[in-house]
Amino acid sequence: MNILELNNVTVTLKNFSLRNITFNLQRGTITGLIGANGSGKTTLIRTIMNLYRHETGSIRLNGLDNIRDAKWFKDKIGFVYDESYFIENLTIERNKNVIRPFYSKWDERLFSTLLEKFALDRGKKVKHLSKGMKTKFSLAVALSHHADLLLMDEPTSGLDPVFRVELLEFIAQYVQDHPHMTVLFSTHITADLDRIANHIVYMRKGKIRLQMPKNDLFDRCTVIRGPRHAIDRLDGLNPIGLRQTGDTFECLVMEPLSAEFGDLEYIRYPRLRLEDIMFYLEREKAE
Amino acid sequence: MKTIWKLIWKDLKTQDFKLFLLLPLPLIFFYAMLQPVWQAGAYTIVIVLMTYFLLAGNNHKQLDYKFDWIIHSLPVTRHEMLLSKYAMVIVWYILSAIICNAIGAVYMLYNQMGIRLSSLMELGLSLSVILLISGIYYPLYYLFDKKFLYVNIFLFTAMLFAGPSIARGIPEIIVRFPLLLLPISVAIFALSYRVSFLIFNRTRIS
Repeated sequence: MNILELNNVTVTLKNFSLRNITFNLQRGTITGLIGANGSGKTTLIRTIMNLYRHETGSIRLNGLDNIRDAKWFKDKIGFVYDESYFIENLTIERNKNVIRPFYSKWDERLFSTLLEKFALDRGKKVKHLSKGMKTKFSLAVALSHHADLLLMDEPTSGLDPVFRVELLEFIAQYVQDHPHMTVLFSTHITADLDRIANHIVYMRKGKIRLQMPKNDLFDRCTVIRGPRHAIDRLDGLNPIGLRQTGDTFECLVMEPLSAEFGDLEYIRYPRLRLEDIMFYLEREKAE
Repeated sequence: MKTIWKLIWKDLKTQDFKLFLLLPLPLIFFYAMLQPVWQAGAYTIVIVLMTYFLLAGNNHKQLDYKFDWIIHSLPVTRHEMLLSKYAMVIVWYILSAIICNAIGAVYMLYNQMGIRLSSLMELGLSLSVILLISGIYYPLYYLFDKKFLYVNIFLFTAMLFAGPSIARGIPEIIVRFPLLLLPISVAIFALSYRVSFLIFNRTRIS
């Protein structure tokens, strides 16, 4: 069942635009929004949140329109920004007190549990929190009103690896324990998605280049390397990011292979990682 | 309506406490400077300045921390956000009037001058002026957001220096236009709301 539906969304900014974005999120999934810097991930997330206005198309959450029903739409979303935008001079408790009254389903007990789990001190001023602690505070706020959709814009950027893994594992566990919860998060750290995502949306130059379940993506993708003279064997396979160096070639193929040849090297999951797939897809852009 | 109250409460909660501590300084400065024309509108100019100081200080603080991003992610419509900002003008005005009168009374008691609180005419005039000023301020604030901060600092400094001279002219204004200024200010304030809404509704939050 779809929880979020974007249909033909177009946004025009000063030097950038999102064009004809159409995708759906299924309830209970963790979707990773990937793409190089400037591909439109943040713009898309901000458009969903109505920070940017879309000129065409529609954005619906459980049938609620993001502009017409803005209030109810946002009541069902937990949002984590890439940075902390809380009032730095106020404590965690006072920041929470400012935010809490706006949500119809704020759960103080859940908030306390999350603070405890994240080892956050209510009395501490936000300016005295580390980057990781601020992200955890944002997450605690985002989860404490029983949102249906958790939207996160680069939540792991700037975090040290231990913190990152801890945070990702928490999110994965949380979604497992709360099947109503759906997560969409943008990142350029593809290892994060290897770890927890089950759907992938890849963006490039303001367009969605591909979207599919992560397992399907890995099932379909193969990196092929081999001697240059064997390149003819790729006929009909639509190679992506083909590079020929010296006597060898390498490329990504996203179609099932009907035959394999002994003189070629085939790299598949688990040796093939999301980072490699993105690398070839990005190289296609440069071609 | 409930959300408007919540937004008003949010602005009061996020107001910097230090701002209130700083306020007695300009107030004492003005009371001292305006002593020779004590009857002539000291309260008016001080209430206007203080309201503007609280209003602009709070807005720019939230811009500075990008706290408006948090507000935009809450279940609040842009219409409600804007309405609360305009309602806050009145809230800051009432707060300023109370604080100014209290500090003024203490100052006068201390100097054995005999207590005189602001008259209804002074209150009406200060309300008119602050409605006029905020009527100009808000559309510019929504049009230029952060860039407007610098214009704002300039405006505030100019008001601070021009204040005493303007205050001396206030009795004449009161005598000449006792009832005219308030309805004009209210009309401009309402028009300003409409303009701000058109700007803010299209604004990309950045």
